Amino acid sequence: MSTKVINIADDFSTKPYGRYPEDGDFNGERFRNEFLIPAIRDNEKVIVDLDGTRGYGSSFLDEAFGGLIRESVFSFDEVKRKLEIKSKFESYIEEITSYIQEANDNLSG
Amino acid sequence: MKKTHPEDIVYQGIVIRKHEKRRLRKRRNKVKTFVRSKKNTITAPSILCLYSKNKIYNSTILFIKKFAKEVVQNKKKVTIDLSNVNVFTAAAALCIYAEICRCKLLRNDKGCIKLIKPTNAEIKEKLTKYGFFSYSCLYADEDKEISTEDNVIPCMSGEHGDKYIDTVLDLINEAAFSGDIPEFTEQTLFRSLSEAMLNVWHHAYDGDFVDKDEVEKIGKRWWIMGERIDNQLYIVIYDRGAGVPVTLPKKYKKEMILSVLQKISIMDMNDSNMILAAMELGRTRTGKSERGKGLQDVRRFVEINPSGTLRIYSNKGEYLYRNKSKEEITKNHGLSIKGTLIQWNVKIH
Repeated sequence: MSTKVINIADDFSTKPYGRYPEDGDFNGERFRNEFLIPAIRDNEKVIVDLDGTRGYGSSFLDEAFGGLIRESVFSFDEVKRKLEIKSKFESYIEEITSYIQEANDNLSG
Repeated sequence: MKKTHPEDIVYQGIVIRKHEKRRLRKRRNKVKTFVRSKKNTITAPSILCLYSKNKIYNSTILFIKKFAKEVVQNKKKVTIDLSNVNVFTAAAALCIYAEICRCKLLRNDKGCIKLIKPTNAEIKEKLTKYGFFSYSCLYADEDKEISTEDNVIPCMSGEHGDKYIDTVLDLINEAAFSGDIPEFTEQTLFRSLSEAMLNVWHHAYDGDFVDKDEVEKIGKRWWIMGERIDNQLYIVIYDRGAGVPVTLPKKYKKEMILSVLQKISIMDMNDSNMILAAMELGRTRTGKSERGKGLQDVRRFVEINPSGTLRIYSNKGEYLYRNKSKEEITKNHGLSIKGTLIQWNVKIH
């Protein structure tokens, strides 16, 4: 089973910022399209390590992770099965889980 | 027709001048909040504060309006005389600083406003630390090195948070935490500041509500400053956008706004209640998960600070939340702050 680890600070940016490309170079949409989608598509397990950045705004997290469902890239079940979030701050994990759940709830209904 | 004698003209001139003098005297007596003592010199009231009673809030806003009108509409060079100021609080300082910056950008003339410093040594020192006299409103844009002094993050301004968030965090770390900011605190500051800046970028200067020529000249600009007082770091961020009461109905349907207000027994969509609605909409699941989290992000961190206070001014509305009492207070002023100002404090461990 292939596992891909993405460390946002090392692989993407130490200051991920904003939702859309016009917000900044290291926005949530770009992270989703260039890192998350290929990783989830090509691997059975994807571990996203959030540690090492200066922080995360809710816009970045919602667009990157909630957007996986909102943009109908993957099913809720597939994301749930493949994606694992790692952070020393439990609140980020809960938050990302809620964005994915919320996006799915809105899509279903 | 009666021929006018040259002496009559002189006499008429004297009468007109007398009338004019009387009119000006009456006007001077009437408007006591600021005085135009010399040509193009506008004297600030002795108290510049937004936190106080209506009368002081109003005189502060009137003073800002007055010098801006002279510079922007009447295209005059103005000297702002701060010599009588003996109370000057942070939010008012940032608003005035921002307005000076805006005037200079709109006129494209850095010399269109001059300042006479306060005679009160304490206020003068405080404003110097804030960067008030360095005419540095474009600090961040000009890539100049910004230094901090004695627990103060000086007034600075920028358009795009992405470019400045690092600088702002470094300044905060240096000024308030002696370079040793705890990781969790940095994470919370990054989050609240980045979302506040992003809100300005996405919503505040919406082309449907603000003068496009003005936005062309000043940009989608925010102004920020901060100060450590004892074990609390106070941060103030301000924008000159359309304001929450104007932009909220574009983001959410009127029925949705009314419905959240009705849940807390409010029927009136005045400016302060619109701020309250923005807070509520950020808290509840609206089906529009991508919206309205900016203010909530700030409030969440106020809620983990036992001495946390969140103040939001937007147009004529004021919202105050004190964590200690868990009380939300709203108030409407007679005059608008012309934009949105958010102030909150973070505990320094």
